[in-house]
Amino acid sequence: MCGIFGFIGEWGQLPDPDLLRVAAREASSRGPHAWGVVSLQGGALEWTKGRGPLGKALERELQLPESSLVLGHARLATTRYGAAQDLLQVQPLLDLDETVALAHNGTIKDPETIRYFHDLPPARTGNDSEVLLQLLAADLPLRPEALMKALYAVGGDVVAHAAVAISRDGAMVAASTGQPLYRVRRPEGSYICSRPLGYATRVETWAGRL
Amino acid sequence: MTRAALGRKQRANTEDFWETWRTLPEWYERSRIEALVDQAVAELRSWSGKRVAYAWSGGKDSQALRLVAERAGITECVLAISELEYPEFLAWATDNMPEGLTVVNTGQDLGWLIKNRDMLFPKDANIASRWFHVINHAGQRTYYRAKKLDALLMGRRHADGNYTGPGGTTTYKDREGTLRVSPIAEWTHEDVLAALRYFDLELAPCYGWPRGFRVGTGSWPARQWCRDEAHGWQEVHAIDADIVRAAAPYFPGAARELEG
Repeated sequence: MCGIFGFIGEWGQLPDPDLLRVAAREASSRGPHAWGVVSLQGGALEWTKGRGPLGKALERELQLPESSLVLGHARLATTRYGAAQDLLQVQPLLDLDETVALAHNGTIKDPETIRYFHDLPPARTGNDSEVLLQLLAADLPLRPEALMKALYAVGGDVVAHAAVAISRDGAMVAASTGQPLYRVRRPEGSYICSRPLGYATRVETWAGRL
Repeated sequence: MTRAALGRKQRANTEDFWETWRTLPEWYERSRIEALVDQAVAELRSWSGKRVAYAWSGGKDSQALRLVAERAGITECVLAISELEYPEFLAWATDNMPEGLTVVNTGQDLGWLIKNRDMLFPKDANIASRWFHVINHAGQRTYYRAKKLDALLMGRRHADGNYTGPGGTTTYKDREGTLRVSPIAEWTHEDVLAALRYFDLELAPCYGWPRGFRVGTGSWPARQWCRDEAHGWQEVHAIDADIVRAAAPYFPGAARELEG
């Protein structure tokens, strides 16, 4: 299982750094192996990532990015033995031209067959979630119904999934087929997290834009 | 119940467990497990207003515990893992995790195992208990302190020979100050299996692996009651060959297993 967190600002506002750290720490409780954070910086999606628990990285030196669009992921590796050490598999995953970033919680059985049936290019990362990103990137612009459709295409009707994606043009979409995903709306914007933060509402599908 | 009861898992045959699992609806009355669940939930309600969570390993007992805990409104739980887990188990845990789950990684990896070679496939109960101490207990203690809990519910049962408290009671405080409560201590194996079957809770994949019901959940080098080291590698190889490949450069037994 993995933890997801994120923020999208209302009218371009920045997140409350303390609340964003709380969201990151909560997400960290689901994914001890590795972490990644992607944010919108000057029109580009920039990422940082590392091995080990995100909570520990936050205790040490990690500063979360100052951005009105942030997406983070804490990973529990399930793909193969030893995958926990593979930084290439760390999420959020970015598509080839770095238009979209995706954070996913769930397991995808037989992604190669899904690729074959959807005529998608070979995997680059070894992460089973990459096929979900490929499906989403082939169906832009980002829309919650496109994310939900992609989740069902990777087995969302059989096992529970949750995913959040952001795009370079300032959109965020979230969808869940059963894995926990929550949103808190504050004056500065909306926070997304795999665990409830205060008066959070459960997300089935949701979309926001800068 | 009208069948001969399963014995302790340390002695019972995994095939006996599967036979019980398959035939259970034919002879186990649903009303019995419903009454046991109701009783356990009623007892847990006495903890209302306290900070209580439960230990979830993904094993059959912790799935039964999850059932009663969640019905009593206790949703927060902890899974302690190391870097020596089976990926298939972690994938199953992802698909079946309780909503309030926190994962604590105690960090034992191949490097740690190389320095602690006596821990590989425990040869006696002391070493098996050290595995529980360094992963399960350590992870639970970290969680208990971080969440400032008043009590941690456990899936321990007398039918497995588990310690639940002095004189067979179901509550005790361990040396580190963790108050452990065992709400299903008196349940039989059949009761646990009935809880899973009648309330649609999944069995973890480890039960379908060699000696699955005997070994249960846990890190791969903690597999108990192997005949010898070669037998341990053979079973791990049958479950996930990647693990044996990763260990082969450091453990001659793993290399021999790969050579066939």
